[in-house]
Parts: sequence; structure tokens; C-alpha cells
Amino acid sequence: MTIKNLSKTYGSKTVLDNINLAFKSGKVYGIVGANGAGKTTLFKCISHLTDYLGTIDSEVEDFRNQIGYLVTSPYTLDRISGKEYLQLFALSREDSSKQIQESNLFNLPLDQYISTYSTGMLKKLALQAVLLQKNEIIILDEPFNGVDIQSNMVIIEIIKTLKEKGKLILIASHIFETLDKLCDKIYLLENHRIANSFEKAEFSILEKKLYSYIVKEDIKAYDF
Amino acid sequence: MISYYLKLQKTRIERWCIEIGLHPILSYFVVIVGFFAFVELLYYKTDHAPLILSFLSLYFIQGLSDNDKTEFLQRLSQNNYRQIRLAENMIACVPASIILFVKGNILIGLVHIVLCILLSQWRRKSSLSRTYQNWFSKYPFEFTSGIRLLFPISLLAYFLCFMSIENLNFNLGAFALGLGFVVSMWIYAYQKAQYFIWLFNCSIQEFIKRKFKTAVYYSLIIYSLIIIVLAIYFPHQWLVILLMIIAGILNILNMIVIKYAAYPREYGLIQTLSIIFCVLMPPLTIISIPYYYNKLSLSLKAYLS
Repeated sequence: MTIKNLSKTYGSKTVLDNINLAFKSGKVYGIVGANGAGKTTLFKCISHLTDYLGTIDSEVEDFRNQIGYLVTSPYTLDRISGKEYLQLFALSREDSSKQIQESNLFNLPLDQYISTYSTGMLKKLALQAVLLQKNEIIILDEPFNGVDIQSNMVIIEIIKTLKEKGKLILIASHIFETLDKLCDKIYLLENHRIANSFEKAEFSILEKKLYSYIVKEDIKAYDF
Repeated sequence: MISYYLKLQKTRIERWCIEIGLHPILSYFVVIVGFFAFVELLYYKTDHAPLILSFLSLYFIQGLSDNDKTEFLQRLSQNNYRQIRLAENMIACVPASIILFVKGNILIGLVHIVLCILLSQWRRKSSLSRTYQNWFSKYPFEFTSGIRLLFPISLLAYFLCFMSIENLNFNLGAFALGLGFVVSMWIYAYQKAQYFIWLFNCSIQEFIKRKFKTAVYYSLIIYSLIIIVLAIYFPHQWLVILLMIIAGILNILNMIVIKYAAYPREYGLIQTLSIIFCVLMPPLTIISIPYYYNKLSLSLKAYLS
């Protein structure tokens, strides 16, 4: 996937400014940046959920319909069960498996209404739904937030498996250790631009850079 | 996938009917009869019935254009989401369109359908929402959020009032005032999070008193212009206007007690019927209000002293 001169504004506010990126299949890419840096907007542009300036191309056929996007807070419909939610996603791709119960990776209570699910359960359900679509490109926006430790481990294994299967995976996360384990390359989004990119061997530099932003003295001096 | 999504929507509606204690088939029957009764009343009362019907239908349909929902559909399928939205809107526009065509309002019916099609490709974004300076901010609960949500219906009430003066049609003016009070009732139709009750930190009686005061005071302020205009242009109808105000206030109070008597659950079939009968026969509120008021203490005691 190639992103050229991507810019996005909301009114007079620039959220993404001239982003240029290239992603390869079978790789995991991390996107890091402060809250409000534009990570989610970048994902929305890639998923064609919002309009933008610039171009996004891919060699994947009909790639707009080959993107699975796990959002930070999954949208839910009330009065539907987990099973029905998954069925909806499975049917959205003609070649998707319809064996919902068999692919219950997180042992979720699929017969219950999803309105009774906790934040973590909902996230796991949404991830499972994205996986059922069997997309070539998978975008995970903070997939580990609100999810229990065991499920975090399951998600890590899922991402590794998807990578082995040659899928392109983009992750935004604030948990550096997890990105460190999974990613082949990490992009730092700062001031609405790609400030830097880090190959696997350079992740320690990124960690130091992120750590350098924290002024410990200020925190200690704060009157809590 | 489109048919599965639409079936799922139907299932959700039927599950909601069951939750409020109504069999789905009976619900469809009640809705259809209620809709036709409303339409006949509307056409009987005013010459602007086609426009009002179209407006109310479009107002309901624009609610389907929620941006988050559209994004959800897009994530489901970039290829099919436009068809899903179109199918939803076309199904929703059928009742009003049929009425408009049967009643001979062909042009309005056609424009109505075109607008429904256009609305299916439109997204209602929260970024379009604006907060306005208003005098409702002291207790920023149901009334403030509700009036923001139902602002277009309030505008419609004012428009109808203007039309009633233009055509010297008191019935239309009375309908506008009634619509205003229905908006105020509507504001109190849905349950809020428990936190919004707990933070009042007062007795149940004080809580209800505040709710009453806010609802009545602000409703009268919002629709005072309609009341004044009707009183000026139709002075001989002063008694009807006064009775409508009293009935409107009593129905708002009735709505509040019914809502909180059922708290934290949504109110069911019996309560819904109580609301409808009280709107049709306002003197019934004299029985309904004390009855539900007595039930309040049980439902709210967990949140208030």
C-alpha cells in the first residue's frame, strides 16, 4: 500500500499534513503518537471512512473492500447477540466462513446481547468480527485497551499468525512493549506529520525519544 | 448481507416490542392504526397536513443517517453500505409516501421520496452540532439535551403557528401549541444514566419538584410566543388556549412521574397507554399523576435519600 501526499483537514484545523508512507504485505507496522496526533484519522483515511487529499493505492484487488478495521470503541447495535453481530460481519464478505461458534477465540458468551458485554468483551468481539471478514489489510486501533492479560496474549498470537499468512497489519497502540514485540517498523506521528520512522533495530532509539518527553521533575513537583 | 442486516433490524424492533410487553404482531397493528388515525386527524385539522407529514417523516428518517452507524456499515462493506442506507430510508419513507400519493399530493410525495434518497447518502455528524447559549444551563439534564435534539420540531411548531395566523386558522395554531407540549413530553421520554439522578443529592420529593419546575417553567418560556400570538389573534378562544396550557402542563408532569416510576427500566405497555390516554383525555392525569408519584419513592430510593 502506498500513501502519497495525504492531507486531512476538519474545517480550518489540519489533522494530517502531507503524509507519505509505504506498507508491504506480510509486515506489521506500528503508528505511535500523542493523543490527538492523527492516528485514528490516518486509519479512517486508509479505510475510506472519510474524505482526504492525496492518494492511497494498493496492489490488492478491490482493496477498499479488503480492509478490516478494529476501531477504538466498537459501534454496537442494541438488542442483538454476539452471534448475530459476528454473522453480520461474516456475511459481509461472500467467501467468509459462517462457522461462528467454532471461531469463538475468546470464549465470549455469543448468545447474550452485546449490550451486556464489558468494554474488553466488546473489543474482543469486534476483533473476532474483523477476523471473520478475512481481509488482506488489517488495521487495529488500540487493540489492547481494556482487554485482559490473557486475551492480550491471544491478540499478540493472532497478529503473529496473520503476519505469517502474508497480511498487512497496521497497529496504533500506546503500549510500547507490545509494539516492540510485534512490529517490523514503527512510524512516529508528531504535529500531524510523520516525524520519523524506526526499523526494528532502532526501536530502542524510539523508546528513548518517547521517554525523553517525560519531565520527571515536573511530575514529582506536582501537588497531587 | 443486506437482507440479513434488514432482517436483524426487524428482529431488534420486535425484541423491543416484547421488552415493553407487546406482542410484535399487536405492535404492528397498533402502530398502523395509530399512524392512520394521526394522519386522518392531521388532514382533518389543517390544509398543511401534507407538508407536516412529510416533515415529520423526514425528521424521523434523518435519524437513520447517524455518522457512527454509517461508518459501521462502511466497515462492514464498502461495496454495499450505500445500498443498505438507501434500502433503510426507502422502507422508512413508505408510510408517508403512500399517504401522500393516496391523498393526491403527488408533487409533495415525489419530492418526499427524492429527499429520502438524498438523505440516505447524507451523514449526520456530531461536528455539525452546536451548543447555544441558553437559559437552561443551570440544571443541564433532560431539558437542555432534549431541546437541542428536538430543536427542528420546535421550529415546526413556530412555523405552524405563523401559518395559523396567516390563514386565520385557530385549529392549526392549537395544533402548533400542542406540538410544543408534545416536544416537552418527548424530552422526558427516555431514561438517563443513574449518575444524573444520584448527583442531585436531595430528597425524592425535592428532586421531583425540581424536575417539575424545570419542565413547566422552560416549556412555558419556549412556547410563550405561540401562546401570546394565539391569545392576540384569537382572543375569543382564550378559554381553549388556557385549557390547552393546563392540559399540556399536566401531561408533562404525568410524563415525568411515569418515567421515574419505572426507573431505571424503560416504561412498558401499561405506562405507554397511560400516556396516550392522558394526552387524549387530560382529566385522567388527575388520577395518573398521584398514582405514579406514589410509585416513585420505590424506584428512586436507591439513588436519592
